[in-house]
Amino acid sequence: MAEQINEEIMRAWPRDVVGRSLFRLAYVLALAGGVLMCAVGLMVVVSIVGRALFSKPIYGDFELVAMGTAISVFLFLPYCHLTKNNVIVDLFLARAPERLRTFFDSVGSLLFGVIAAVLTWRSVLGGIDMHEYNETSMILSIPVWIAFPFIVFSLGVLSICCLYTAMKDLRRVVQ
Amino acid sequence: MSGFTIALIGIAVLLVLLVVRIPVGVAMLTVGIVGYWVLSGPDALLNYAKTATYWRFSSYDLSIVPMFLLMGQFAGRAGLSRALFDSASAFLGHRRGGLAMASIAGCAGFGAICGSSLATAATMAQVALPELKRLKYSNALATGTLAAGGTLGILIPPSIVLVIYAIEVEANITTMFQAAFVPGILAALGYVLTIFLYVTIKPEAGPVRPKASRQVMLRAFIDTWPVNLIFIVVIGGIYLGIFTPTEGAAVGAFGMGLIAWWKGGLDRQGFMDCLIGSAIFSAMIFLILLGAEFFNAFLALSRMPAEAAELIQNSGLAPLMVLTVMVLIYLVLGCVMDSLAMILLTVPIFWPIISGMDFGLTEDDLKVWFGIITLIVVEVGLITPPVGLNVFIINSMAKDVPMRETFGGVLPFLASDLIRVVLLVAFPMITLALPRLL
Repeated sequence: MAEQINEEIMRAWPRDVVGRSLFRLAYVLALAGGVLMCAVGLMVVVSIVGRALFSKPIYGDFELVAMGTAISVFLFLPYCHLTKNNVIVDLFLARAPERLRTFFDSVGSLLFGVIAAVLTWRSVLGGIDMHEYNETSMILSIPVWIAFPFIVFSLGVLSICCLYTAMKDLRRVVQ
Repeated sequence: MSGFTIALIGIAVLLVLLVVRIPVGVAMLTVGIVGYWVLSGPDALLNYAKTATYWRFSSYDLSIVPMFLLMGQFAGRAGLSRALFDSASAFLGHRRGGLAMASIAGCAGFGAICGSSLATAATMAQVALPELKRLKYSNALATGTLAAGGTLGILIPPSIVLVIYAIEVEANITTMFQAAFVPGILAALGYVLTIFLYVTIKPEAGPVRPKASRQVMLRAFIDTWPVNLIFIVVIGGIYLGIFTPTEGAAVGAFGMGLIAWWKGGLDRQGFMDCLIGSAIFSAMIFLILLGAEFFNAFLALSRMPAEAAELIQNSGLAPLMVLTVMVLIYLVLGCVMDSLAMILLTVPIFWPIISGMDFGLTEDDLKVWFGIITLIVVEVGLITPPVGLNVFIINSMAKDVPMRETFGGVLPFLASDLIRVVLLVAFPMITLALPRLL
């Protein structure tokens, strides 16, 4: 899938190998999350049609919706960070020197990276807990832990992406 | 140190972090995590962090957000903004200021299939700005109209901010959507009236064009069928309880995807762009939600919201007075902050205060009424200087217009917004009638 990314999109990506690979990975993750979201939407539509025409909805579909949403949203996070689309209050420092702004951007990335790393670590343990306690959904009895590998992976990629942007901005400040 | 003081320090630190450009979600996460640690120690925090993230995102109701965003992306691809604008301008173009009114109508129509203000402003501006310019509409009127019209995207259901509010206060999303309808229509009418007054005073600002023939009108109207169809099915279905808001969103995204594909706007690359676009916007929203999860857990532990509510309730202040102060706070915050972040930050503190006061409404009605007022006031923030995101978007598309002129053009619409807020506060029935009827 990755080799088919539109050139126009890739032009905005950084030139260095690490940056480029991270952008590529994050893009593919976001796309995969989008596809999963579409699949969830399609399932809901099928369930409605089934309910309307044959009085046979997909049983417990809302559990799949909830789980699918959680997985997709985690998959979305890294690309949003890399493309700097997270909401900031850009008023007070709008006229400050570029170097100062880059410095604070780097601090923001670092904070985000540390938090993402902590959440990655906690989610590993959370997933193990879910597995050990055999936590399952109410109706379909889907084991909850199966969502966690995706979450851990996304959060892990997110931490690395944050670290990358933090280093990059910091280097620009020092130069 | 009491929990109350710690919470206040936390809020102060949060504001400092926001000032230095730390992303809103990250700032809330940071303060929330540190505050949680201070109040209950590291063990409780680490235990909470194991699964809190998963449970926050794993929600049937929240799945509405990415699905409505996807629907909006598809709608942008289906060329519907052009159909809407052409249709409205066929009916209104021969009147003074008619094309500006048509832009408002177009925004209202697009808002009915899209839950985001920025997307509505940007999409409608793409088709309306060139036409307004060609007919030599004044820059202030043209850009001001589109910036203000964009806010209809969120006022007229479906509305993503409203979904988040409903989840936050545990209100029924369907009821909230029903309640937003009349105020949304009022907003559109108010804007049209504003344009009418504007061109009455300044006739040269809104030139006329020749009247369209009846055939052209009919044709233009028929071309808007996808919008009408999707709106009736999705919003009608939700209003009448035929399906849940999540199901409505899924049906809407599916239908809109089909229409975009049928109109030829959705090839493989276009489809991928839509997925990525909705992924980025979803991530933006969900990061703030995650921040709010931790921040609100911290606030709840500090017991600050409950104590503040008690304090204000015992202070003998009139309920309307308190509400007015909140509206003013929103207007000030709105000058610098994003609407969703504002709701997630303030509602956990404001709602306990409001819910304990006597407005002569039941708790459920109060939730709905307060939610709609909040929604409108935070949306005003999108067009107030110095940070008005809608104004920025429109201004970046009309490069020859100075920012000052756009903000000037927005002023009359701001006045109309404020009058509407006063009306809705004074007459709760405007908001509550439709949900009661359905």
